[in-house]
Amino acid sequence: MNDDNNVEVIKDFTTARNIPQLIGRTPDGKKLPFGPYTVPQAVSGAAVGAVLWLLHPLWLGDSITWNVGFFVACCGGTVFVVGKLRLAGRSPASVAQGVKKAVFASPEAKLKINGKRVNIRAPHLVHAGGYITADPRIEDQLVAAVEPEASSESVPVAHNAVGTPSRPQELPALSPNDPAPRPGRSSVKELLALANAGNSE
Amino acid sequence: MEQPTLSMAANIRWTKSGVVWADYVLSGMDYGYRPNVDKRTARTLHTMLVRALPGESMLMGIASSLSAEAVVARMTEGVDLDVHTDWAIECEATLDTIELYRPGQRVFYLSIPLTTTGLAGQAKAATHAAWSSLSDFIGLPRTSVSEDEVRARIRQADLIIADIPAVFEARPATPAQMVWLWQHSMSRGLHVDRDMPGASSTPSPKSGAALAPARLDEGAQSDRDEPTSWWRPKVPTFSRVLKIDQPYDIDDRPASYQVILALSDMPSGGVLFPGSEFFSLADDFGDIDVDFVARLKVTAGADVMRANKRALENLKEQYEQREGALAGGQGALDIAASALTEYSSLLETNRDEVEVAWTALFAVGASTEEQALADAQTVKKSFEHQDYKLVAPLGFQEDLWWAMIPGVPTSKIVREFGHITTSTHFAAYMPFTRNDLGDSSGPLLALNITAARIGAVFNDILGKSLRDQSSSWAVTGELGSGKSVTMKVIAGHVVDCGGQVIGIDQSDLGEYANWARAVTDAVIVDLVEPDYSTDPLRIFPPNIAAEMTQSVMLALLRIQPTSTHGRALAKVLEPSYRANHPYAGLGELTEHLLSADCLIAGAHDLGEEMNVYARLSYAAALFAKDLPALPITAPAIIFRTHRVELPTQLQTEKQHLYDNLPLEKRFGHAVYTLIAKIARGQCFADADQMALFLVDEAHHLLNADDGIDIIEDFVLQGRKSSAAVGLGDQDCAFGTPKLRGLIKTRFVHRHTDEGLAKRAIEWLGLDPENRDLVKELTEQTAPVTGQDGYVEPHRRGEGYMRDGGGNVGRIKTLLPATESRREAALTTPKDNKKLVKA
Repeated sequence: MNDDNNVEVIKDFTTARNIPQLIGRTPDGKKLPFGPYTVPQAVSGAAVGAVLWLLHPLWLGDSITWNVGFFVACCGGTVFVVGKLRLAGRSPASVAQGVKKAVFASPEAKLKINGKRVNIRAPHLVHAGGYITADPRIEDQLVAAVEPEASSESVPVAHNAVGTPSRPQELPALSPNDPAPRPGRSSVKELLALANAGNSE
Repeated sequence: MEQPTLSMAANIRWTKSGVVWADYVLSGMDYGYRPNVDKRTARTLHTMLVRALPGESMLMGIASSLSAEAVVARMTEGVDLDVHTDWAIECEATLDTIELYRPGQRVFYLSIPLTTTGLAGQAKAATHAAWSSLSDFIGLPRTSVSEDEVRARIRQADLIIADIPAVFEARPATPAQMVWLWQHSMSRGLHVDRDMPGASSTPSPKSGAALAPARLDEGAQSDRDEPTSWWRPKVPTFSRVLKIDQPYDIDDRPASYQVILALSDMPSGGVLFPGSEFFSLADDFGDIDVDFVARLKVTAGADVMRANKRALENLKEQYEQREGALAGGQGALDIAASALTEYSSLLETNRDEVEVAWTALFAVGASTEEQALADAQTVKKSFEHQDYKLVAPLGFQEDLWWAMIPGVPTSKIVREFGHITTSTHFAAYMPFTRNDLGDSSGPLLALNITAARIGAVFNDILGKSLRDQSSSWAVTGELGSGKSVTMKVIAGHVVDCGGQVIGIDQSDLGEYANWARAVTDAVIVDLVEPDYSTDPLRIFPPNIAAEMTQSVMLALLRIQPTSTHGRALAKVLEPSYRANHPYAGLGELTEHLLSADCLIAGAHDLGEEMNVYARLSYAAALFAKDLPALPITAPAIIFRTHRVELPTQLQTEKQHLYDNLPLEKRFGHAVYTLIAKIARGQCFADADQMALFLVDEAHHLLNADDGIDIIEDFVLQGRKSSAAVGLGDQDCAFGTPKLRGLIKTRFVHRHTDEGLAKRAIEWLGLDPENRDLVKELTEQTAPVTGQDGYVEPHRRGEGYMRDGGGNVGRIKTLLPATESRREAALTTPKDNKKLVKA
């Protein structure tokens, strides 16, 4: 095989730096049961536990078996379900944010009819913008192109409002030898002129 | 989000975030069928490009439809349509026909945020941005950017762009081009793009509103059905589409529905280079325009090493966290460790190496939501076949759309789809490549079908001469492959644009003669039964005629230039001798040589030898006195040689056979030299007029040394005189290896014979041993289907082109748009036309 036919493996090194974070041990080094857990699993499990703790008057009963069983089932179930979510490497928070945006998106007109608040993701106008400022280099080029001509001739030169010299312009007189007026433009030329006019905007 | 761009001057844009961006238009690198060694060079240059980019940047590949007006504008460039009315008619007809193919082009942009150094500078930039926003809010007139600031930013941008390899031809974008890009982004998929404004098209300063307003509607919520119940309007669409319309536009233009796809995953284990150029997959869709943007963040090696060290510590921590876990968890860490080791090694071994954190976004658009989603699905599936995963994240379509606009800071969602690699590896993805063929303007010759996304191939023969390039070309292909159609199409362009065509028609049907009659006031010369005299003495001025006649007669009479007869011939052809002994042509010269007036030694014998031919009916084109002289300035002159007897290959190679050739064949052999001489004489006469010498079945001419010399003259010297030769043959031998190599513009049509196909592939500059290529040329190029040897109409004209720049690609020759010219260019005999399906 000659060099011309050699192939090379092109790699993406994202995995080298974006290492999935798992929590398998407590800060004092003890192994977590059924671990390790992903960060979303840990956060969601802890969040459910916290909510259950805050709402304990609603579910806490007399039976310790029920109390422990319910608490463990809710937290463990959440951890299990979150662990099964496949988000194609995306952050669960980002996915949730996207879903929230889609859920709360509302059509502007209908919101007004119903008297509801316009959601931030409803159809909205991006106002016109973009001022175009003159390129100063073009002026430099124009000055450079005009100056030698101005100095070489003795035609009286007028000055315009900003003090730069300007030359009175005269239309050249037509002579009998001048070419005949050009015929009107064809439709092709009209179209192209139209297209060019559009492009200059 | 609001329009980020506050002001534009030259190629600089000031944004609401206070960051100033510089925009450039780049040229893609020729790729396509280029050999691997060229592909490696392209990759190296891409590496240099990426390393030259400081910090963040945006690489954009915009699929722009080439409107019919844009195509025709390129066809009419430099042609006075008032004078060349036939060309105006052809261009007008092209406006209708080209719409069917919807050709496009890919425009490459580079946008770079410029750093603002120093605390004072940053404060000034932030103040300007804040004040502009406040001015807008309270309705005050906006302050423009100072001239000093514009100049300083231009200088800053120039410093960056100076490091970019020249091959990318980075040109500062104009405000008109920035406006064009915004307009394209708003109307993606509607096919309403105008041709991108040229560098000279700069709008005058505007006090605002250069970038038109747009209405963005994520999920196309405004398209929900009218409420039939209280709950219906409250149910979101959950559609992964962004609807964009221009509410203030007076035109009743449909909304553009766009789907922005982010590249979320790459093939595991890597991809092979060549073959890793996934950005070019965006051109694999014939009917879907796919734009792409790569947002880059380039970080120096030393900073990356620090990040890698942190990653290593994290990895160690994870090993501890996962100790005792199932093998799968450890395996992922092992892969990460291996990747980190290799990555660190690459950065340590090459001190110039940098890290490229990049996010690739692809956008499709359509005029309906359903179509946009269907197109996005098609694109997604196509990428999946190559193991690339594209996703359209729900709820983030607008954010991703903005991420494709220059001037917008990198958002969180963009970083979420980020990938990390080195500049050398990123370069192998080749964002800036193209498959362009032909010239930037000129007559429209063909469609570029190298990729599924069709392009236009312009062939500017006259322009090549003006650019000091050889405008000669050659076509090869088997019988019925479309070779002569390509020749006639190019010749037709020359005639219509005011040039002259001198051609040889070997066919019994007189296909070139018929074509010439159909396209212009042609002069047809049948060399066996002539209506015109082709005697050089009657056509050209004495000095030119003398040289031409001498060459032809030496060949015809088989005499040496320095022999008695040769010297006599030279003497009588001298302009001074001719002035003293006037004779009108070869017929009268023969009579003069035989007369007593001629006292030159050997003149009588020479006259006798010439008289042998002068008495023959088939030599009347040279010797007849009563025929009118060929009107040499006619726009098309076709010499019909179908009844001219020619020696066989063996007879020209074996001296004894050549010496005993019958007179008809001797005359036939010399007549090709005569035609070539006449063509050379006329085509080189006026440097201001384009002239083309058209030779099909070129081996008849190139069998003789004289013929090869003349054709080499056309190829080497023709550009100075606006003269070109167009050769056609079934084998691409074209005389000598030297001549074969000198012709830079080459066309190859179908060859079903493997040997001829391999020769043609080699002539194109490709690898003849590449089996895929051979198969493509022999079986998938204008393929013959059925027992009748029938080529489907939509496959006709397919072939390959190698342009003057060495770019090779697949083409489909386009027939003229005007019906009469189209019929003239076709070679299908009338009786067989019933085989052509509707």
